[in-house]
Amino acid sequence: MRPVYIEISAFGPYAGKVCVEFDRMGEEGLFLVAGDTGAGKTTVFDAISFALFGLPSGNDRQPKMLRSMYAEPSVPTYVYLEFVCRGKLYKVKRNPAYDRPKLRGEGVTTESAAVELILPDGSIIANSNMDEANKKITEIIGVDREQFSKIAMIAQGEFRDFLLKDSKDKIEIMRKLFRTENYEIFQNKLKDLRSETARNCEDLKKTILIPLKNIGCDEKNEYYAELLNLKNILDDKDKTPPAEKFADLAEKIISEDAKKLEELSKSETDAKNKMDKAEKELEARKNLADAETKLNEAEKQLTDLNKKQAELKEKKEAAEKQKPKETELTGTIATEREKLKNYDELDDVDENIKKTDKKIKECEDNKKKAEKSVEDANEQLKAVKEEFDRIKNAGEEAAKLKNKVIEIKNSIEDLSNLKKYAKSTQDAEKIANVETDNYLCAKTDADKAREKYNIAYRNFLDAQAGILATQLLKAEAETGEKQRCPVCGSLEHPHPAELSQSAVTGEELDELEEKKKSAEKNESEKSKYSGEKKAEFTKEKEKFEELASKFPDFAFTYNDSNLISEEIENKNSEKSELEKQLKTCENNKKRAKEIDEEERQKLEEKIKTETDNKNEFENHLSGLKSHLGGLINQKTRVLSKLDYDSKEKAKEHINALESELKKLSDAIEDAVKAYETNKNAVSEASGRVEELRKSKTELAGKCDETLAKTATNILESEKQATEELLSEIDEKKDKIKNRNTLNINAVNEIRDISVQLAKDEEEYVYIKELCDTVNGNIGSGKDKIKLETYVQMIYFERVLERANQRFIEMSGGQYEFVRREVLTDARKQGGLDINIIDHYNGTERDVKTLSGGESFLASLSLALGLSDEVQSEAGGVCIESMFIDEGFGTLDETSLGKAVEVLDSLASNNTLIGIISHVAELKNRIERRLIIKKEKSGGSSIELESDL
Amino acid sequence: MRFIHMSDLHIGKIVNRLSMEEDQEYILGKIIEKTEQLKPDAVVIAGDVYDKASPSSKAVSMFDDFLFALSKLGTKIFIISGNHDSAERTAYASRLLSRSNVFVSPVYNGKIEPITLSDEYGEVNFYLLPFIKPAIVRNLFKNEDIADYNDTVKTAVAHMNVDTSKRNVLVMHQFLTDAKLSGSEERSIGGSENIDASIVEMFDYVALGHIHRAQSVSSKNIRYSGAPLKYSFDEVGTQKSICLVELKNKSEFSYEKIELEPLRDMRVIRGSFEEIINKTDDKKDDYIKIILTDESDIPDAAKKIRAVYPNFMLLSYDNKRTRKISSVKKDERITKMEPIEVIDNIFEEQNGKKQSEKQRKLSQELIKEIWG
Repeated sequence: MRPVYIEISAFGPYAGKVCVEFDRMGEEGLFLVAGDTGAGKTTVFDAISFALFGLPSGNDRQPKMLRSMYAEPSVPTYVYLEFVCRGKLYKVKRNPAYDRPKLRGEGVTTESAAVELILPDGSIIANSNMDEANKKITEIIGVDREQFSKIAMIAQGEFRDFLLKDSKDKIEIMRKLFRTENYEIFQNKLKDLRSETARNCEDLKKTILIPLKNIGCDEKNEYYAELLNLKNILDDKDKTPPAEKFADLAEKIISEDAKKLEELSKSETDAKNKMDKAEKELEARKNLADAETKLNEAEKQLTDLNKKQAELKEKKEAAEKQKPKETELTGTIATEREKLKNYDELDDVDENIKKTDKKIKECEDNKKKAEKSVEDANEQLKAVKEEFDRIKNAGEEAAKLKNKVIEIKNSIEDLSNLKKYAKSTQDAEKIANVETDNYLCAKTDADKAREKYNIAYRNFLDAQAGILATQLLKAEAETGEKQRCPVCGSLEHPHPAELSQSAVTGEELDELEEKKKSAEKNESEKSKYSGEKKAEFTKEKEKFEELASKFPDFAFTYNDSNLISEEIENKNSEKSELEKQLKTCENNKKRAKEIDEEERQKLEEKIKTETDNKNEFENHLSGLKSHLGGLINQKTRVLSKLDYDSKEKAKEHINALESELKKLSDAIEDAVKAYETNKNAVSEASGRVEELRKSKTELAGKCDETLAKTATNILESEKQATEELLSEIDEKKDKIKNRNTLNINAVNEIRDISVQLAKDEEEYVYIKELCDTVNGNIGSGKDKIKLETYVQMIYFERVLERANQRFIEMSGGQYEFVRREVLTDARKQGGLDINIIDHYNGTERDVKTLSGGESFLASLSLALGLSDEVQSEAGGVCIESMFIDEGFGTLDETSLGKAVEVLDSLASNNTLIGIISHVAELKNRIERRLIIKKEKSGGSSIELESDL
Repeated sequence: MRFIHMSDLHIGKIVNRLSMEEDQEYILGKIIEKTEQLKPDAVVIAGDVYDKASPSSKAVSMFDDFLFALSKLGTKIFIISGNHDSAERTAYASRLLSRSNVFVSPVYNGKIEPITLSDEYGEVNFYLLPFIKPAIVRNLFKNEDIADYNDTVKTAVAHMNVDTSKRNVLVMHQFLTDAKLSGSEERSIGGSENIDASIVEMFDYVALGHIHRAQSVSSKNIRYSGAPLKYSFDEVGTQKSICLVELKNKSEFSYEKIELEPLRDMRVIRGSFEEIINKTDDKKDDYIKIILTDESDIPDAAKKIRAVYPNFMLLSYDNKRTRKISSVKKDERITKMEPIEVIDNIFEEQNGKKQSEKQRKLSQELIKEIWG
């Protein structure tokens, strides 16, 4: 598998789409992947691994972490890889499951994981068959991801994996790489076969016990003791049953038994003959005795029958005399039947009487009901009348109350108006006061202003002189000429007035005058205004007092708002009282109307109707009673005609007569019959007697003469004895026969089973040996090495050999791999553990004791060795490229140089090797480089650099 | 015109985890001595002055001393950068240095101005071509088709516009076809870096650097001076030297190898542990690679050996086991063992006897069932 072209989109740190044309790096040789930390170097390898297997290169990242966080939501995440395997070009495109925004509408939808594989012939294995595509890829490349990560893609931090794993884990990996599962199957099949064979032997051993136990022997037999002994051995589970001995013994017993059987048969036959003879004689004698007895019996019977005959004749004759009575009875019965019809009339009358009774009762009830209704209605009428009297006058009262209510409403209104006036009066008063104050203020101000003005005016006047003087002097100073005094016209000014400091200028004076004027204006205004307000107040007050006069009792002043309110309250409550009363009155009035108009009438009507009803019922009642009397008379009449009180009694009488008749007839019949039967019996009996006499004579002739002497009882006892003997013999024979059959069967079975058992045991022995060998269970002291492990060890040693070639070179001859022979723990499966030989001090030690850099070299050599060995196997696997992610940073200069040399020699062999490293020296030495840069805007970019 | 040609000083190099600085300092001193004796007109250093693009401070000060000492002798000095040097760093202060007769190649920019020296026969042009890769030249001459190192140097030489009527010396740091490597050169990874000697035939002398073994390629005047010290055990047994070249008339050229003796030599000693420990007749502080012939590892071998040879570098064994390892070739397809053979083997190993007939038959049946 050699990558040719890869396209990575929104994957890991690559926000957009980046592509790498691997074929520009040639078909073989080393190339370097370098770049900043986090730029995305391992991601390139992740992408290759992901495109092929759906999983990234290391074991740390999960496919769902692969979508780039820097990508725009609309950029899809996928990896597209074109690779060459055995000269054919394959294309695969794969994307992980990730969330992206919907194409239509809002929100986020999950893009599911998908894969598309295009084969060289153009056929496509697409999305829905993710498993199929994955399987196909594994088939094409020849390894699955596990194996790929051990031999072709050595991920960051995981190179020590294979080196340090337990034998158990290595067995798994080796099994996958070198397909040794068949050996494991071989082991298991042998195991199964062994247990099967073992089971068979056990079963047979159990089965053989049964026939052994079945062998029987007569107690008196000479072999009995021996048999017992052997059977005791059976109980001892540790010893094997001595089947042969049993068989032999059994055969001896069998032959003995056969002999005995013969003897017994002979005596049986003799006894049988004797017995037969005796039996025959006894039978004949018996028969004779029987016949005699029977004859006697029959004769007796005949005599009896004759006697009976005479009796019966008499009885018959007596019965025949009764016949006339029979006829009489029949006549009486017929007459009585005729009379039955008369009873029907009686029944009818009875019924009518019942009906009439019922009707009478009904009528009485109805009458009573009507009476009661009348009473009730009367009472109700009385009550209604009373009520009416009471509320006659409701209407008048209502009118009175209404008036009162109106009155009160009016006064309430007045009171509220009063309250309003009081308030306005108060307000007006307040305003008037305020205005008065204002006026007073204004006045004060005006006074002040006036005074100020006056003072200032006086000053001004006073100062005129000074001013004039000053002006004069000023003018003199300015012009230098003497000026005339405006007052006196003198040119000399001996004593110019002085300007006082507090001189007031004309302007100032004017100002003050203005002020005075405005203050006075203000004052007059205010005075006017205040006057107005006062007038208003008086008006309000008058209004109030006018209205207050309506309530002379209270003497309200306009400040008594509270009292007014109180009074309003009282009036309100009074008003509501009255209103309530008014309502009741109105109701009463209505009711009275009702009663008057309707109710009284209704009740009176009702009384009338009910009384009428009552009378009707009374009439009806008397009619019915007379009817009843008539019917009773009728009944008495009918009864007198009849014999019995009722039909039933008449019927009884008839039945009695009938049964009497029957008895009589029967008796007569019986007597006649009996007589006839007996006659027949007599004739029969006499015939039988004759017969029996004949047979008796016959039988007497049959008895045996030879035995006539032997008394019957002796014969019998002889016969019995012989019988007993026969049965004894029979029993013995049976017992022997049974035993024989059992024994013969047992012997056969034993022989058969023994043969089978021997065969099976032999089989078991060699199968067990083979199975134990193959499953690593050869006792203690030998290495527990299973067949599969053994095969794997062979491969493993080869792997180590190949790895050693490189490891020795890279470590400068110091280190060498060797497979550990001595088991560290005899219980665990061993065989694939690695030790290191350090030639510099001649020791062998565990591979875990290597330093970081040394273990990198070791792991690298091991991976190369493994990859070599896998490829040299019947070419299922073709690794045309290899990827190593970091690890070179752990090496010093010398080792780095050696490692790169080894990789270089490997690379020049039709293999493309990619290294991720940021060791600076490698950048100088390796001439083809993929430089991965982290862009400032997020995301990364890949550039291919080549010095060639 | 007489000048000394040397190259590949690799000052600051570390070989098998031991620093060669002391030895380099010593040998540089020796070179100064020889230069003083020989009094050439120029000294040419054909690249790989340092071992790393960013050399250690000791390395820089060592070269500083060396250069100063050389310049004190009055000769002209020509330096180019090699594949280990950083072209930019080497060219640092080159313009200033040229005033002191130290001529360092600038970073290659397409044009190379030769430095002309004169002697009684006329002018000699020294062309200093630093180590270049195809990408660099491709960038500068975008129209030209440059596929590999060969084209690269060809183009560069073409653009030098060499006047073949004069005597021309090219100082270059590249790998020529048919040159024999010595094991300590760093090869370029991923490409073919060799160039054909015919490209530089027009020069009267090509002073080459890059290969650490002194040799001529294709003709006597195209020569690698080799490194002044042994840097790999593949060079054990060779003699290190610098070259004294004399150019008279156009086609008169001769050279002489000036041998250098290092402070500590690199040697390979082979023998059993006992022998080696008890050896008495050699310099104990040399750089040694020890090959032990003992069949089994000697415990603490390295420590014990270091007690005798304090500067020993490598230890390896040559015995049956190692020979077995190295005999496994990489591509050898080991025949797959048949399952029945595997079972036979494991049975015999674990039980000490072969499978019985019946067992073997059963095994074969099962194998048929499982493997088909």
